[in-house]
Amino acid sequence: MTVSGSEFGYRHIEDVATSDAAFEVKAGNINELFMFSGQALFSVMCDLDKVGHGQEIKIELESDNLEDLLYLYLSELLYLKDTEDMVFSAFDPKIDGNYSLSDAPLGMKIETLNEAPRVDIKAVTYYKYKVEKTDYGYYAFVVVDL
Amino acid sequence: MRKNKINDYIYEIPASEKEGMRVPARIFGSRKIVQGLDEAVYEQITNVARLPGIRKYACCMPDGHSGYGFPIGGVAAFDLNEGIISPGGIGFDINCGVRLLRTNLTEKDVRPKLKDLMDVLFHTVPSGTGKKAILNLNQKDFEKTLVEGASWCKDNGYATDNDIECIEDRGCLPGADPSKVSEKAFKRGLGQVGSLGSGNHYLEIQTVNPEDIRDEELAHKLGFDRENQIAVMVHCGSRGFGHQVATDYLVTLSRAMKKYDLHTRDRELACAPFDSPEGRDYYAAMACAANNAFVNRQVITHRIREAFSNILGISQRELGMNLIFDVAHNIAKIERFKINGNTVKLLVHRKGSTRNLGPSSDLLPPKYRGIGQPVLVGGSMQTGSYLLLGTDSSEELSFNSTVHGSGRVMSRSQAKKRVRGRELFNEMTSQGIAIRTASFAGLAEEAGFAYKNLNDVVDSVTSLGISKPVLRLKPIGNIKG
Repeated sequence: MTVSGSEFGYRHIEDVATSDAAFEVKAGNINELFMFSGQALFSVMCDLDKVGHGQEIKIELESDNLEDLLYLYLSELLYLKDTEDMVFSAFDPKIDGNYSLSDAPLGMKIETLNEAPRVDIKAVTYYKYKVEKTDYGYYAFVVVDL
Repeated sequence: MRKNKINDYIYEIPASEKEGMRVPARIFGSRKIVQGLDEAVYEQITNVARLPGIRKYACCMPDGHSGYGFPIGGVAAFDLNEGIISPGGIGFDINCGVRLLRTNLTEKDVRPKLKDLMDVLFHTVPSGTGKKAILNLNQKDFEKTLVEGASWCKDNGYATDNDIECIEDRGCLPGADPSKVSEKAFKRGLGQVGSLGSGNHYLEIQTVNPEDIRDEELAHKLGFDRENQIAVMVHCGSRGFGHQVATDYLVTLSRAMKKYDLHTRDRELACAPFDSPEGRDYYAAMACAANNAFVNRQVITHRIREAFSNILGISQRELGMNLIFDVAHNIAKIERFKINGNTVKLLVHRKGSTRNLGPSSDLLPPKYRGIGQPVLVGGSMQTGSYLLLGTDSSEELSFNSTVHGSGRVMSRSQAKKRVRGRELFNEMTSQGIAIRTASFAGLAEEAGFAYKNLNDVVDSVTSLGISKPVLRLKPIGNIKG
């Protein structure tokens, strides 16, 4: 079952790496793949429905392949978490055919959350990392270091 | 996977067991511990045994569990010319480590003021997620900390001579070069110098009860000389700075593998020859992060001393809060080892493993010569920790390495299913452990039952002969990161 309530969305996977966290994403198109991945990432840290949309940060990224672009995108979100002191809950990434990405995720300052994040994510790992085109759209598997 | 029993505490996976293994893999631990390891540990340690330039064995310590790239508890040493360096053998939290401070206080002195002390420490030592720090450094000073490590702290009034002497490598990994660090890592690290972070990081007030002393003579020599003596333990690393350095170089080294015709079974084992531009650059940046972590733990120590002195109304001299030792458990370093009668320099990776020098090592500070290096084994916040000493036989058996903690046996989500944070908080409070945490859900993830039995882990390294137990420390106050 996926979190979005349809066949597409993200799902936390237990017991892939004992002290870390993993999730998989199924999406109908490439923009959704990145959107669900962003949601999955921050849902490890906090309940997304408790994260407001008061602030926006712009992101522009480029890569030469889809796999690396998703890794860069998720890593960029973690970088912004620390430097802007923010968590995000709404994502609307646009990816063009040349693996250029633009997004302006919405979120709020960590200090203004009613409940502190239950855990911090240090980084996105390459362990079992997978991004692939499927017959229904796109699939990703990500393990993050806590 | 086939495991040959070498003795009661060493199991070996022969190099013939997996294609491409260059050396055997050795798992250290009692039968109970080895049988309890998840299969991924065997996959991961045998993948490590395939890496170019690896010498002797790929090792996994008794506190091992599955990680990514290397298993947690993994140790591997590589030839400086033919071998590699891999961020996956160090971890994202570069120089995550533990330090232990003794005091002249006993539990009787501290209990009446414990609540006040915990409140002050919780508010003055930043913990949890985000941009919070004790120090507000400019770029120039931040760069200095990366090169000078703990000696910067001494020059700026945050460390004593004894502190510097009692930090692994005197708190400064040589070869640090800030020009090899990305702008992003600088921005991420600037706002976090002097902060615990999250997850299993903590600041803990502990007692040493008479029944927990395993070697009274050694305990006395190390400064534990009164009943129910108070100690303080700090567990944290290089925060976002180290995480960004590791992330940056994981990408760089992953791309460089084609150039050097390197192939690994796990992409997280991305690596480059140590003697290559990419390998040298990563080492120089990793050393910056290692020094950043030494500074981080030292600055926190300064704040702890202030808090104790202020709350208890005694001078720092009366407090006697001296550093016993500070050890890294996520790091790669060049160290000397005797192999087949020859002394060789190798690049040893320790991921969730601690350096463990024996009494005869000339790298020890004078006061520990003839005793051995203090080793700090951080247990769960509920069950306590150990102070051990390194032995000389550790060089031959485990590249002067030993355990770093008790090792998780249960994932975070499983732990949360078994206990609610508030419930655990109440349980620990009734056990006499004061807790401060920003998140109760995060607390549940660190419950004692989520970890191996620490006594089993320590008994394994004791029986193996690589470390010697001195005493056990029990928590009375824990600030969870």
